[in-house]
Amino acid sequence: MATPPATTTSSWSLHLDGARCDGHGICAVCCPERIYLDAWGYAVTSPSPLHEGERSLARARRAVAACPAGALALVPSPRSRRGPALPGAVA
Amino acid sequence: MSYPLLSGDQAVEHRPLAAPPPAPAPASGRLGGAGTRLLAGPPPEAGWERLADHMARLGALDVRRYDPADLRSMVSESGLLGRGGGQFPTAAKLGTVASRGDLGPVVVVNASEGEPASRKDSVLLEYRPHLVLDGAEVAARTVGATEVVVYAHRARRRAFGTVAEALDERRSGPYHFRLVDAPPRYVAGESSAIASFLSGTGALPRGGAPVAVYGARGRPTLVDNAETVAHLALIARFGPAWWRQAGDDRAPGPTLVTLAGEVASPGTVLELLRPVSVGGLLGATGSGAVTGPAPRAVLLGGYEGTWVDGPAAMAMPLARGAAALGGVRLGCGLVAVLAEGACGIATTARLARWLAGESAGQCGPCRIGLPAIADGLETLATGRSTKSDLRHLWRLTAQVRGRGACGHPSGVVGLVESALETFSVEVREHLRGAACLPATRGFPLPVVRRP
Repeated sequence: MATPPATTTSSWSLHLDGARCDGHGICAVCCPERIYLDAWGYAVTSPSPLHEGERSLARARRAVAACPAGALALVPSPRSRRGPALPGAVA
Repeated sequence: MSYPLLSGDQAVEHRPLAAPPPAPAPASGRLGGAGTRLLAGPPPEAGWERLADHMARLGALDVRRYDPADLRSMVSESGLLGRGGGQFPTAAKLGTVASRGDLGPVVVVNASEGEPASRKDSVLLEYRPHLVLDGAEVAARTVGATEVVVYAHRARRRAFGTVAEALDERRSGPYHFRLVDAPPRYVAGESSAIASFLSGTGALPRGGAPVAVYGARGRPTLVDNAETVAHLALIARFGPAWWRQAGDDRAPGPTLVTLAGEVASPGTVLELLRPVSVGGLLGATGSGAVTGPAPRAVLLGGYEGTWVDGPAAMAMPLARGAAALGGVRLGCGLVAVLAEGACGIATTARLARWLAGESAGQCGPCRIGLPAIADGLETLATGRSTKSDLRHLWRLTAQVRGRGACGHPSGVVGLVESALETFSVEVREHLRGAACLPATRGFPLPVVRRP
């Protein structure tokens, strides 16, 4: 639940906003090692961190830039938690 | 049982000088029952407790005389877990919002109770509205908010009307209360959907920063379930040590449950004071007694909860902490009994179809995946599935789990997977061509709106 640290970071993870993803699929072409498409064409991202200097990070940046829906972002890693903003609470 | 009255001076101490006696109590109690905490006070026939009666029974609570940091450490000591379903530690949420107190936080009492069969929050609003509103003031004082929103469904008319009247009695209080009508959709009760709704956009869940950081109109927002908030009122008054006498170590404090389905009086709300098995709960309480033969299964925690086999559930200790041990969460506290002879697969198919329709439709895996899962279950329930169809259904659930901007798709997947496991005998019969209809009698089925 902590806010992302304000300091500069050397590792990142891909964050997907599922509500924005429209299944264009460009991201999976840009960064196939971290993003794949499900049976309906919507993106699924790997939660593992990307480190500064890795080629995967460069490809992930390209994927973020290419997303027409603006659904992808690189956020400082480690993420405090994956998934919904606050757990549960759909009731 | 009545609470000892605290004088104003004692209230400043904010530790009860004479703690209310530990309940030599039944493991569960109903409204007005002995030993109860949340539901203590006058019996249901007396109607809702007015402000004057509430104050006379529990003592006045002037939250401005409490230090916010003290309140926070009391909640932290209490170990209170959210009662809406997520079971998130309340003290952690309070801490996050309080740390951003200079940004004008908002407190939201989530009384929308989107679970159609759950009644616990409505019962609190209908009979003890001032306990909830007291708790909201405690929360507001703790995080430094001046604005409190009570988020409830107008469709639950008695609860909505009562809380409106109760708010009228508090016009002179230090906090600005607003009663807001929640839009009619299951996911509209999710915290980020509430924040979106209060920001003037639709009640749609969103990913990204937690609402405790960035919520309604960009302000840090504390969204707590109505029962959670009512507990805050008791913890602030009588201290965490007394409060922790109920419950167990993993999930302290009393907890409310709603009985539904094949029980003598569906809709009964009970307060659990210590872990009790479903069998004990249904047997010990007259209105809970199983009416027919032993139940086939019990659905725990709401429509996005978990099916547990009847005999296992009868013996399973039912408390927030203890149930969580077996991987089963008490969630919103719904205990829905499915009668022996009723088909759990057909029943789950109906639930899944309804839940699919309740999606906000923002995320592809939810919009497309949930109807496909409901299709698969309906095909199975009507005896038209092959083994490969069943494998496809499992693949679908795996594909939808963990996706989307909120917990809705994962919740549906949890329900469906627990049904496929719990009703494995029925699944085999369906694969051999048996066709069933959902349990029409004795189970709280939602009405599916056809588009």
